[in-house]
Amino acid sequence: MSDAIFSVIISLFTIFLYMVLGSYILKKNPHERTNQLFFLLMLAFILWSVGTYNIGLVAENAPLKEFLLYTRLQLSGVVLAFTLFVFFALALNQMKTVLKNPLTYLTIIPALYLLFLIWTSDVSGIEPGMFSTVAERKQEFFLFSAIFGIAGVYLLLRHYMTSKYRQQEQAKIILAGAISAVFIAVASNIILPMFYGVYLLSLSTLAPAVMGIFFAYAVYQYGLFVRPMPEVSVTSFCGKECTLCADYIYDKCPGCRFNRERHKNCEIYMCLIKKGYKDCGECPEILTCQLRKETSERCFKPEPSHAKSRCELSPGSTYFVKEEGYDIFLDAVKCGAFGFVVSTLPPQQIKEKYGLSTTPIVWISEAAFDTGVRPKDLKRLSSLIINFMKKTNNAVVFLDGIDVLISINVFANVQPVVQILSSTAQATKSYLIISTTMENEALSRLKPLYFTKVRT
Amino acid sequence: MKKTVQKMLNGKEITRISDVKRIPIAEIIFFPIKYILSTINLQKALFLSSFLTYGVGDGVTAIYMMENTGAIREINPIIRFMYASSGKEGVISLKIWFILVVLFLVWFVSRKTGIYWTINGFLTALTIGGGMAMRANMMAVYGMEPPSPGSIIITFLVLMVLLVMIGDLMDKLYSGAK
Repeated sequence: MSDAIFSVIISLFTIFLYMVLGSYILKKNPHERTNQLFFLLMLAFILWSVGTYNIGLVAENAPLKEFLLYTRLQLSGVVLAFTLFVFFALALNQMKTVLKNPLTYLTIIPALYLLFLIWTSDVSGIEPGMFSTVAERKQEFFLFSAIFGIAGVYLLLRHYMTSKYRQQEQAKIILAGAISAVFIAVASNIILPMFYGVYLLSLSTLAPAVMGIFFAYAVYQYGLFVRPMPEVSVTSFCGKECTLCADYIYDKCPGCRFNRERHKNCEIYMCLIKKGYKDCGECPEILTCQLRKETSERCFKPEPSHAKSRCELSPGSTYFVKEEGYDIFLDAVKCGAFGFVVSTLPPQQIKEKYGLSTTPIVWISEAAFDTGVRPKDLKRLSSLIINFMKKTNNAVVFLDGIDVLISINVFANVQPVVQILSSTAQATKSYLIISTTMENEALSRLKPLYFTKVRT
Repeated sequence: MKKTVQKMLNGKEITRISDVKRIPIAEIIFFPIKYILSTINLQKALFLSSFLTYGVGDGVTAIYMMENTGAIREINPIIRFMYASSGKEGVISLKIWFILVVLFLVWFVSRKTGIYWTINGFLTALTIGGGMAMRANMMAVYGMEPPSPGSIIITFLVLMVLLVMIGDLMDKLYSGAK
């Protein structure tokens, strides 16, 4: 197989990977801002790769026009990728709304100006050699660029290794991805050209794609896609739980969704009409929306005696329940906790039966792919729950199906999982509700070990 | 009734605009510097110094070098293209944009992880790296033989690893982590 064909195949594969990664993430939730930004980031990488790859293919004595187009594409890809990465980092950590953050403009204005310069500058009279990388300096330039990559990977790993919820497995996957990418880049930019006289440009563009695959796998495997969402009530547009409101309890209001006089002038309703959503549960800004917070607080009149009886779970506790598990969970969610269900029942069935619309649900099943976890994969199951608890204030996790897990994995393997989940709930002040049909004797074998461990 | 245009610290009120004490122009010019000096700490100083050396300084000296010795001497092909196509403003805006992105990401990591000395180590390496690049550019301008780009990069890389590791160690010492 000739070098040219090999290069074409690797480049097409890289571009295909970027497209699949971007589309997959976007498909997870098209309304989610981080997912939209990730998709755009992948498009910028594609632009960068197409430019870089074509510059390598253009002959040394090719007309200026050809060099110019590909160099412009490459530079535009670089500028867009870095800028979108900044937005992505901001959106991922919910640091205000991205466009309201002044830091956004520190990067967006120079980036727009650069794009303007790249596409409007006059380059007549410049020699084509000026655009391509001077061969003997390729290695030096690559080494220079690698410094930032190495420092970034070091900081990332340090963050993982020193985290109090240290997750070695996840760190290993990320490390493997980073090392593979650096190895491919070093091989294609330094070892192959210096010792074998072969320069495969497309191989170097494969490096970030390989890293992307490992990162995406780590994100998938450890449930970082699961985002906390408040459960929204079907009686109101803002999703506030009407059954805790005095007006609803004493039949003064059936919920604004069923009371035109109440919602026709509501600012939240206007906002939803403008954005085309049926309620706030569809809006990606629900967690940070100030309008929702202020307006719903004005409208909502909590009935203290009613609310107190339903919101009585104590933070950091683990509850073993028999049949009333969903009722306790739903009460906690209605009291404002961010729910997460891990169950052996299909998610759609749970949603329909208990009226859940936005609460994330993970299915324990052999048939589940990215929306679930296999019963034997206890490591992933615990990571999903731990990651949810540690990134969510006021989390309530309902684990329904511990008996199935015990029957498949035996008691001795499930017990440590319960212990670690309980201690995480305690550390993060979350609520953990475990539904079980175990008799008291069996249950006592599960609990004392945990409590003994805590005391020591 | 005459309108008060300025109220003095001693309570005296000035009603005529010509009586208003003028603020010396030097005070206006130096006000931002005085303000920065009064609020600065080590990390802020390092952010500023890396912006000035790695961003502005390297960009300006690279332009000066390319004007005197030709654009082909520049190692970075992106800077070379920007200089050839858009001139000085292209190089400066590219360098400033790039350093802002890098500093933003560093600031972001610092806020997310709460690490202090590791970040300081990284910023110090960035400042020294920018300084080395500036020196090499100026040596090329004055006809001296600058250190090879390879040696600068290796020194930069070693410094980066070393200072970040030292910073990491200090962070652990201060936080009591093992």
